[in-house]
Amino acid sequence: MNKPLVMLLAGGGGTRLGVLVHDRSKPAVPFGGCYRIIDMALSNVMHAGFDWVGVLTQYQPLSLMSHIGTGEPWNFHGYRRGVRILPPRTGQAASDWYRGTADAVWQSMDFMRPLKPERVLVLSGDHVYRMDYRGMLAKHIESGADVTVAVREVAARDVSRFGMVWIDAAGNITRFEEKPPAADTRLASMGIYIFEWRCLVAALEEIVGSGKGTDFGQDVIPALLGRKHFLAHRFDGYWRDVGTLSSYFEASMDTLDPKSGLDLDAWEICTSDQYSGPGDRPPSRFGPRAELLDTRVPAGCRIDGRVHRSVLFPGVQVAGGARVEEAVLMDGVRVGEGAVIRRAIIDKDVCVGSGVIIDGGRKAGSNTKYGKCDAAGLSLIGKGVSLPAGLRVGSNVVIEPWADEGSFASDIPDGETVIGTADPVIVVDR
Amino acid sequence: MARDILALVLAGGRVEELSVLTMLRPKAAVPFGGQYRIVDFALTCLMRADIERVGVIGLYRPFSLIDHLGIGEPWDMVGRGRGVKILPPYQGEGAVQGYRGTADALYQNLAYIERYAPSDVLVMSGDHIHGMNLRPLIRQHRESGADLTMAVKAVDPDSGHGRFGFAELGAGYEVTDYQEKPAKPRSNLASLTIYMFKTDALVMRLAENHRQGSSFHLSSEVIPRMVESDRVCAYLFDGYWNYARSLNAFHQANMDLLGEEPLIDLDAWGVRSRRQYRGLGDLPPTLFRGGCSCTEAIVARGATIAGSVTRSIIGPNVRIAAGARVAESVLMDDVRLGPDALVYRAILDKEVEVASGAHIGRVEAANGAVAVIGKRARISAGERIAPGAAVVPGATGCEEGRS
Repeated sequence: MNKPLVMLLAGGGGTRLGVLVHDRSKPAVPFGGCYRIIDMALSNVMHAGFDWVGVLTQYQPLSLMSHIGTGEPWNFHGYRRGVRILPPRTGQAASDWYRGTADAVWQSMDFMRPLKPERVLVLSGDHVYRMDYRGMLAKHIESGADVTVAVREVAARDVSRFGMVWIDAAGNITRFEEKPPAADTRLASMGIYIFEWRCLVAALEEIVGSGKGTDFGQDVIPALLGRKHFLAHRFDGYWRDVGTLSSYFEASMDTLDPKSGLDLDAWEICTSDQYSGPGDRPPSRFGPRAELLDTRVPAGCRIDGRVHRSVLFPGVQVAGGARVEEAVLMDGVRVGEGAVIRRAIIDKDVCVGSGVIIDGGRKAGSNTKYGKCDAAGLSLIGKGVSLPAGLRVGSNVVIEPWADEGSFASDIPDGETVIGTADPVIVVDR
Repeated sequence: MARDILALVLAGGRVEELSVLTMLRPKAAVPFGGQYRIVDFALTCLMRADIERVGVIGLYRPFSLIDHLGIGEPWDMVGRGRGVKILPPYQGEGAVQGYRGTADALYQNLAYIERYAPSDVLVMSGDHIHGMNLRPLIRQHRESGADLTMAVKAVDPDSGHGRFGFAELGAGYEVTDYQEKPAKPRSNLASLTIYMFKTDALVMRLAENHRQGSSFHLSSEVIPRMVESDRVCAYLFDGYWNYARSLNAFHQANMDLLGEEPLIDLDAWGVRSRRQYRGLGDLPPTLFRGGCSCTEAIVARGATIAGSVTRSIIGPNVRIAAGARVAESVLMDDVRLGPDALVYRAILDKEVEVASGAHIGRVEAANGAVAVIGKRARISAGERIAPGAAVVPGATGCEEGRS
């Protein structure tokens, strides 16, 4: 069986992740205590045994580029294997930037053509799931379809967030609507497509090349439907698009209970921990009064306080008397003595002073600046912030990266945004 | 400053002292501290002193060491002029079977030494646990112009006799007398078997030992000879140093990782290891389940802990079921503890399985002998393993040596 060429869409800015994507793209957002979101897709490709991957980047790609490196952690480093980062390139056309998912693939013809693929597997780099693409590929080949789309059932209230799919008895796709307000189908596209090479080239030429459209879900799929043989491949396992703060937070909490379906211990996710140093971190240390329940702790942590239902990243320190509950603490976060953190996502290298109280999770008014990121009161502390001792931070608060210490003269009430001083150019994620 | 130094790490010997832990691997390859092997300490010291060429002399079942060292990139030994090589014994012209001792091992690798023509050769053991900064030793050696500088440390001669070589010093740290494992030491300065030789002096003395020696060990023949005839100086070291000469000492070294200010400070020493070939770089964060407890412990990645752990070292991928209790113990990679199992003052090698309700050690036997369970052994449900017992690797049922 000829292995498909994999094109991984990793460009997204993901504005609904708020300050987490201030200086990194969505697929580069840290997840699960030692991974980045893109590791899920890369590991799936590795386990399927596919050889060539193009990673389409655009927004703040530096942390992603250093993360992927030579691709060795996912076994893409070899004589006839490889992973290539494909940022937008200046060409004969006026637009240097990718204008959409299909445009990004179209502009990468120079990467794809020499590899002479028979098929192209298009993936998204910001989903959390474990899937064996080989089953989908076998079905695609067996049925002789031109395009196969992975689909899954979603809740009725979520149909407006997805491309919705209608199928016939044979599993062929008969209708497709991108983010409809309502739909009498529950099957949603997962943004995973297998295209026959010729079909893909012809479609991109016809639709993107002539300026009729730039996006797979909005333009390419609807234009081809009815003319080409479209197959649906149902997937029933755990899958989550972590494009919003609340879905990111819920997926993080799902890592604490394998019964959720998100079983990090069974998924064999591979990651690259070399460039950022956790590779050298010693095992985590637990003091005499440490208390941990339903919590993930990677290497290099120092825990003396109480941590419940939380995901910690390498190098986190929780001092004695501190209490952390339902929180995500990224690399190098330090929590001072007696501090209390409830329902918060705290980005890298934040210093929480002793006695600080961060009380996320109460129903509170929308955030003043990041209203559309709201997630049930969750508070969000951006990278590199230092919260002075005794500060109180309410629910639905957003503190932007590198916010100045002068911003914390008084407590931060519910829904408040603290503006950061960051110049994104100098806060490159390392 | 370290470019013209070649380091040789003696990591090969099969030793009895660690019981079933060294039945199938050299002591240097024994796992330590959750994610390291003992040899990582020596390699880290060399890396931190910018020593770029290292030969590791391996003899006994060297494959775990070969895997572990790889091309040496965790210790920054990859690049132009850098490198780490395993030097196994070989057959051929002039070679005897195996290495007959540490001096013989060096002698048989003279070609390796001469190929790089270093001005000095640093010889150290891969079996020792320490974080020695080698730079002052190197500096003192160069400034003094000694033919040999040996690291020594003050020990209690009463407990150290019969275990160490002891040096007496004259003016300017000059070693005036050296006795290997004397019954009554005349000094309290024990050799740590870290030697820095002028290459010419080393080559001459090794060749001499090869021609006329009655045994072929550095410490019993070459060093005493050099103290007699060459200029030998001592470098005084007063930091932590442990050579884990018994199971109890190895257990104590593990306990030295714990506490508010641990004697072995992995973070401050910057100890590096290789984890990739074991997949350790990809392990998920350890999951602490509801109802667990974990105090005064260090825990590596990939474990799941539902029972209780105190004063212990938990390696990668360990599973501790609800109701299981672990205290003052060392659990290496992939150990599985069933519900209500008890492990007290014990060392469990990799992949040991302890079924539900089995007990290893006894809580009443505080400070008693340490029990040790060999790699991949299985302890059946309800079984009792006495303090100080040793179970051979791969054992599956009740058999000799368990009480």
